[in-house]
Amino acid sequence: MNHKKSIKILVPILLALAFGLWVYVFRGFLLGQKPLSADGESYLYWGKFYFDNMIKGVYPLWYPFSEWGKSIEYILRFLGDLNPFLVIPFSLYKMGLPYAPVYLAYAAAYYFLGILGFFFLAQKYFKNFCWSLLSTLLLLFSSLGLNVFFNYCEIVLFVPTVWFFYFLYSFCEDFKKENFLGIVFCLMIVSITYIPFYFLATFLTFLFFFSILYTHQLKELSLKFVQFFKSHKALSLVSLVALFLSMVPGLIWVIEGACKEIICTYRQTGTAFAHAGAVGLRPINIGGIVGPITIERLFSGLNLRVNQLSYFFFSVFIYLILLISLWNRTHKRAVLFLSICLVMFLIAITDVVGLHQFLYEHLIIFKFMRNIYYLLSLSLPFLALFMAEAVKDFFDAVPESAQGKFKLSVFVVFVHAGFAGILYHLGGILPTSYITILLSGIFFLFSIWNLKFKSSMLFPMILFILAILQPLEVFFYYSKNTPKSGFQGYSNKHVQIMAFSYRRPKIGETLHQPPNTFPENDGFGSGDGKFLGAIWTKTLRDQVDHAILGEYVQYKFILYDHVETIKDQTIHWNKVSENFQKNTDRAFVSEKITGNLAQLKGDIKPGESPIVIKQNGENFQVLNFDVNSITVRTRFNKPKFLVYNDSYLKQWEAKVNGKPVKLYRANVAFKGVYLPAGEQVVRIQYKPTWLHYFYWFLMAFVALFFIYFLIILLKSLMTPRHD
Amino acid sequence: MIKKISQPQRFVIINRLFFLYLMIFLLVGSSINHKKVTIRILNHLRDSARYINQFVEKKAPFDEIIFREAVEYYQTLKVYKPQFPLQNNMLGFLYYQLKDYDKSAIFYKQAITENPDFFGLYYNLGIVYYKTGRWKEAGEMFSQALSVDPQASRDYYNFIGHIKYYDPEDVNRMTGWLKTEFVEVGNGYTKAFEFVVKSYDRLKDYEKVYTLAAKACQDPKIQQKDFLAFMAGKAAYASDKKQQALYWFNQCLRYNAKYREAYDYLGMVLKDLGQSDMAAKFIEIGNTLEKVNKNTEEDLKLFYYPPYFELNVESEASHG
Repeated sequence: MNHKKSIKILVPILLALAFGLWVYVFRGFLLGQKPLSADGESYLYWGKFYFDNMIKGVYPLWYPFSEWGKSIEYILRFLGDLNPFLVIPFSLYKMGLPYAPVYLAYAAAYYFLGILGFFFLAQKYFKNFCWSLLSTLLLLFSSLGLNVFFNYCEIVLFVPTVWFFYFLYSFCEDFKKENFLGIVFCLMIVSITYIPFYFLATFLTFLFFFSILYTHQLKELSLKFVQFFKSHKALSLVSLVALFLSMVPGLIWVIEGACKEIICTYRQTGTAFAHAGAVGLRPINIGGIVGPITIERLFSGLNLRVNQLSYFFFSVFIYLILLISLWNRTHKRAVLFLSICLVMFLIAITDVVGLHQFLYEHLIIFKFMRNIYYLLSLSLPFLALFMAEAVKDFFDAVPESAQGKFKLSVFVVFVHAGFAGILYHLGGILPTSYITILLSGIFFLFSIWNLKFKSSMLFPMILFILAILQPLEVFFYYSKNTPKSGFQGYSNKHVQIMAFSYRRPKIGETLHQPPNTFPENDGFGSGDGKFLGAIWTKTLRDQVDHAILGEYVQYKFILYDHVETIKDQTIHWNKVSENFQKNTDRAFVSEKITGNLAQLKGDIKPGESPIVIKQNGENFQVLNFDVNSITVRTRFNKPKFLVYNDSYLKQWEAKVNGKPVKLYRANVAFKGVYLPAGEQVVRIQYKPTWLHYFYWFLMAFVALFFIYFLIILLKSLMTPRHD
Repeated sequence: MIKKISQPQRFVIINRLFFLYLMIFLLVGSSINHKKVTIRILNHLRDSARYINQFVEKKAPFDEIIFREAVEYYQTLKVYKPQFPLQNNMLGFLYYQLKDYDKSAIFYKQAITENPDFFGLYYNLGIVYYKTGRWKEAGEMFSQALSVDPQASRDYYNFIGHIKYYDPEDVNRMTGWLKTEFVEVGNGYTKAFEFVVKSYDRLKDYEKVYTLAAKACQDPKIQQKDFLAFMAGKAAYASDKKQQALYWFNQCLRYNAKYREAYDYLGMVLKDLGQSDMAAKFIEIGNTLEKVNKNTEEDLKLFYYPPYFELNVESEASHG
């Protein structure tokens, strides 16, 4: 077997071993024995909510169990809810496997998919297994992977981003259809993730520097792109439509967010930009990487770190590479990679330098990005490529003369000894950091004097150890330091029911709900600091005494005999509060009362009181409930005004006996419907039915596009190459 | 096309990476607002400082990770507010808890240099020395603590009280702490005497032990004198001053009639003085009692805690 073939076999083995070690070191998390971070648990929770609804054939758009109901499309984007890969964990879960391990295994596998994409990208770039392996290992054992357990939406962004660059690179090489489809598919996946602007910012930065450094090539590439579009008109058109469709959920969110009906208090602190998703500069600044990351913290006390590691961590080997590469010749690619990383870094440190503020003021996409350090995560692949290339360039430039080699050896020794000295001075250094330095010194010295070593089987093995040794120890401590006390593992392993309850808990009360149902809270729990929901719900909470409001809102259905208009600008909060407290038979309607509803105007007669529904009865039954809608049957001998104490948004609609009727905003924040006398079937639904179908269609469309792309790709791979 | 891009293309002017690194370093270095960096770090680590306060109030257990973060917090605070007098004191305390006694001593020494009139700092440094078996230094420190004017310590607390406006939301906590600590100064005075005596006892400097213990027993500020009287008796006995020993062991039993060790020693002294019957009687009484457990290890956990405070750096940041 010749050397190339041996390497070709060895490198995948090493890669598989690296994946195995990664799984081993994080096994506590993957097996559900270690708790995820608060954000990580949130993704786990929402994933389960999503799956449990999908199993019942409901695409969830509304969450009725918190904040008295809120829109959650935005939250599901964190998971990439329309991503066809989610079919795998969904199917396993549906087959009866426990949820948390399925979710975590999927999250890790999805990360590996991204890493694999990076390996292929590196292989295309270096055309050398060793350098591809090195860059891949550096990335695999970086902070990026911690986000599987910490901030999964970074993985959701990273995977399509890295594959996008792979297909883009491939497409620029051969302008083949399958690579074009790959680009489009990745863009579709990016579009349906949480805030694709992170990707956009990364790509624009790449494009900016690429166009500066490779102006001539960019022109040529652009012409070839145009040629491709001309010669593949149908494909281009379909791709354009596909891209547009995948952007629809995002566009809907952009439009709805601008309607000022939804508020996210924490994000919006200090922003004058009127959009539910807009973020103030202050919350962004607080989320900058400075603080969690300091120069000292990159090296020292790594056995004591927990979630700070997920902001930025790379093997100690990269710092040695940086030092070793001091004498490397500069070339455009190095400038390109470093520039991207630098810009991302400068943005991620927020107000510590002025770049982010400038971009925030001049580029609208930056008004939507709160966790600005995601950009740093997306720049890590560029950094990994740069590092591997720096090692390659170092070896390429080893002089042939003994004198030159001697000088270089002195430099290597000086760099390693100096770096070890600095670390020693810092203190709190892990033993593997020193071992890596020692091994690296020997490795470089040996390679300088024996250039054939580069071609030996031992070479990739040593690179393997250098890249992962210290991260393994760091991740071992990360796992160990993650507190275990009191953590019993993730309960609710199997499908939970979205059950309707006529009552929600009062403030501080715990309702005994069946364990197989999704729990409901009193609606006050999120606090004002991080409220995300309907703006009128927030207003009501702010204005009315919580004890009174908690008593009122505990029952979800109330039928009134009288209505009265209140104007949003002049609400008498005392009157509203008194109405709730005394249980007066009058509902407030936030618009002019016309039509049939006008019958219910007029004074309250003595002895009249509203009917509070506490359970199914002869006159009122809930016929059907899912998170997006509720259907009830009512039977009263006179007209009533039904108030459903679930947050109102304009996107809600109502039908009585199948006919659309006006849905009012009632009692400031809730939904109200006029009911004629007699038997009525009332259906209240969030968003029009066509939109529900559209989401199902989009899911199928993205999956079909993926299958089509796979077929084209496989065909191409099976076609013998003539080059 | 892409092959062209893949070929390294050399620049003419900037042809070494170190130059590029240097440019980046200069660019980043010159554009960074260092004050904001410090504020960001303080904000990030603030929870650890809060945790230490909970630890001090015995509401949270020791946690090495958080204690190390608190060290970073106070180190950064030193850079940010160098005129603030409390960081070194707190750092000394944190390093003591982290069992890095050398560093603890260094920071307490710095704290003493900055605030030479504060009883608690000498006391805390004395504890560090005692813990590490440096009896001589411990004895000196406790002696110095005892020589500090109590009014000066009171002034020091008042000074701290004045700077509490940095966290206006925490005024009540700070006030409450001051009251508690003033009460405890009296107790600390007794403890300091006990430690200074114990330190010299370890050094077998019985003359000093005798002088200090006897002096303490005459000090009206000392409320619990049994141990000190016992130590005076023990030192006298070791110096072969039987009559003085007899006096102090009797004194000890006047302060605490159940002081087992005093009965034992009394028995020995009387035996030496030829009063065997009497000696046997005391030893017999002693045998019916339990030993007075002077748990030095527990005492070594008692510190004059620096008051908890935090800078309202968030608001400073927004104005910065």
